[in-house]
Formats: sequence, structure tokens, C-alpha cells
Amino acid sequence: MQQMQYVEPGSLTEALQTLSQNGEEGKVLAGGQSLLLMLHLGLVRPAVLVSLQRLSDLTAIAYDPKGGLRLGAMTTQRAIETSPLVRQHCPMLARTSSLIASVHVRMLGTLGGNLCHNLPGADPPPALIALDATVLLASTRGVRELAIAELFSGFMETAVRPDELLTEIRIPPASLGGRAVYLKHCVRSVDPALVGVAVRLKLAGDGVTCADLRIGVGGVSPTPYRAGSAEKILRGQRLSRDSISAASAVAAAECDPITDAHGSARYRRKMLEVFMRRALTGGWNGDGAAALC
Amino acid sequence: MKYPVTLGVNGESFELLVEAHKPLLHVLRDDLNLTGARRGCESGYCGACTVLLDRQPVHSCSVLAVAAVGKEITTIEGLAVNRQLHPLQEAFVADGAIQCGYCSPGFILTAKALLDGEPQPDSSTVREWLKGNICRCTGYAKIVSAVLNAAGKVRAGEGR
Repeated sequence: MQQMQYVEPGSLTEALQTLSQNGEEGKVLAGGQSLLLMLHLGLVRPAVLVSLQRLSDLTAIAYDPKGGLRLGAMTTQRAIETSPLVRQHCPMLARTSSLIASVHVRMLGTLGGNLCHNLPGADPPPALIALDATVLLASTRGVRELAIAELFSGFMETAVRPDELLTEIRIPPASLGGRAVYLKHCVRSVDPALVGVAVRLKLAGDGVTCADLRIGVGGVSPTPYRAGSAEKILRGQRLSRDSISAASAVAAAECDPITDAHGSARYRRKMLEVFMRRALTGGWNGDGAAALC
Repeated sequence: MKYPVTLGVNGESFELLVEAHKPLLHVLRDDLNLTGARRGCESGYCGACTVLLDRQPVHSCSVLAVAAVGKEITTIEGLAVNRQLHPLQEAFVADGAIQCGYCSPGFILTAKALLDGEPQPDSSTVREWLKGNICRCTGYAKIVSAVLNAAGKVRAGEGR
């Protein structure tokens, strides 16, 4: 660790070349709010730290009706939380950002950095799964677009290859309407989520049938995931207390909960059922009070 | 590997040689003798190491010193001017918002960043901003009221 090098590329091209040259030895430094903790704990020991702080192009937030919402990977959580564009078009994401750790962490922590570390209990992953987001991964070999759920490949692992850089997060226009809720359960408000449930739900014209929905879950299992079985129970069905309870019970039965210092697997499973029910109810009747934990 | 860096701290410029992995906290304490930034959890939770980076509160344990080049760094030592305490510092003393004092620099700097951007915060905004700072002696009620009292004094023109 004493020999670690630090570089600050001045352009995206230069950053991608640096990553390509260093392979497994290189590590991207975004806001540092996950990485510095991991360095301190000795979980990672890269030979070269590639800082993105000079790449100001990666901090843009843009919206257009055709492309939806696009967030540069270096956008800080605080910028997302306070952005008029995000608050207008995707209030659920702004609220999710506001629930991350503390103001201190959100000042520096970035959306891209959060996703690329895939730490247990991170808030943005379930929200972005429910929003059907995609990410752009760039390298000297080109750019590929990946569905957000495919990014999270395992416990603290992602599909980002060593020479790749996550540059942008995209939320499609179809995800920006309808009702969206993110609920977080934790013991202290600065903690990671023991359970994080995000729901985006579209009602049919009759106002009681669920035309479509997407559910993202974080904090419970080794990696964030889409709760497909629970979705299947409700899609095209009449929403009611009973159908929501049934879907929540299936989600709890099917999860693969972890035990850590914040809570046991048994507790996580129970709380997933409770918070899934609350999030679905909030998405159904639009009751903000019910949706707030 | 060591890098030559120039850090702007409390309005002064310091030239130093720092290792790539060194957190700003260690450089402030060990190289610049600015021990008001406290070493607490070193995990980005407790807030004892809070400093202002370009006027915003950050955990200095979670910032690399090499990455702080070109930024304006403020520690608690930079708050008093001509031995005159900042209204926040005075309010913390007057309101009994200090006991052992270990967390106080972090609380005061976080509150300063808040008041600089939002001179009339309500109690819930103060609490929201102070979530990233932990105190284990006083309880938080006196700290919140000290910040609100200081905000009143700053507005009344009694301080800066």
C-alpha cells in the first residue's frame, strides 16, 4: 500500500487508457466514500488509484422527453437530492438520495461510485431497479449499455470489468410517470438499509387494477435484486390488502437474507415482508404517509 | 509513493510531501498539527474528523490528501478571528452544548456550513445536517438549541 500511485486523468479518453493499461492493478476513485473505508480496512490494495475528480463532464444531469433522465456517474448524492430536474421528473430518486448516510457523505459520494462498490444496504440500487435504469460502461474497446439489475453480480461484486468505467445512469421516460416509492428500514438513520424496497407502479384506467409494476430490493440478500415473483402476483390483478399481503409473503419466503452486525437473517426476512407491504400500499393508494417509514 | 502537494488550509498555503493513500485527517493532524480534526471511527460515521472542503462538511478520514489540492480547507482552528470566537463557538459554550469536547469541532463546522447556506434553518433541518456527527455525552437537544441560537445572533448582526 505504501507504493500506491495516484493519477488524475484530465479527460475520459485518458482515464480509459489508464484503466486499460493497469488492468486489475488499477482502481477507480470517484467520491471515495466507499473506497476509502475499504482501503482503510485493507479490503482493496490497488497499485494505481485513478481519480475521476477532474472529469467534470461526468457530473451532468440532463432530461429530455425522449431520452428520459440521464445522470453522469460522478454526480454527487447531494446534487441528485437537491436537483430541480430530478425532483421534478423522478422525486423518488431524489428522496432515495436524501436517505443515504449523512450530509457529509452525500457531499462527496457519487451515484456511480455507490453502484460500482455494491455495498450491502446501499439505497440507490433497489430504487434504480424499480426505475428500470440502465448504465453505460465505457472502455477503450467501446461502450456497452447494461440493465441495472445485471450490474450487481454478487456480494460486493459487479459486472464492471477492470478496464471499464461506469459513465452514465439512464432512467427511461416510461419510468418517470406513475407512482414510485422507496422505503428504507434501518436502526440509526445514517446506517445502510437493513431492508430497502422500491416500487414503481402503474394503475389501469379503473384505478384498482395494477397495469404494471417493478420492485427492487436491497439490503436483504447478498446483492440487490428485482422481486419478480412478487411482481407476478400483482401484475394485471386487482390491488387489495389481500393481494398485496400475498405478494409480500412470497417476497419474504423467496429472499436469501444475510446476517451481519446490523441485523440477523431472520429479522431481515420479517422486515422485508413488512416494508414490501408498506411500499406496495403506498404505490397503490398514493398515501405518502403510509409510504414513509 | 509520495507526491508534492500544496494544501490551502484556513487561508494559508502549505507545501507537503504526502503518500497517495493518506487521508486528509492524518495530514492535518500529523503534518500540520491541526488536532481539532479528531480521529474517531475512521469509517465515515462519527463525524469527529469533520472539516469544510470548499465550505461543505466532509469527513476528513474519507478524503485523500492528494485529492484535496486546490480546495479550500477549513478546520476548527480557522474559525476564530483575532481571538474572537465564532458565534457558533460562543453559543456552544453559553448553552452547555459541550462536555468532553471531542465531537465539538465536527458539530460546529457542520453547523457553520449549514448557516452559511441557510441562515434561518428550522430545528429539523439542523437535526438533518447534524446526523453525520455523533456526541456521546451531552445529548443532542443542547447542541441543536446552540445552533439555533447562534443562527439568531448571526442574523441580528452580532456575529459574522
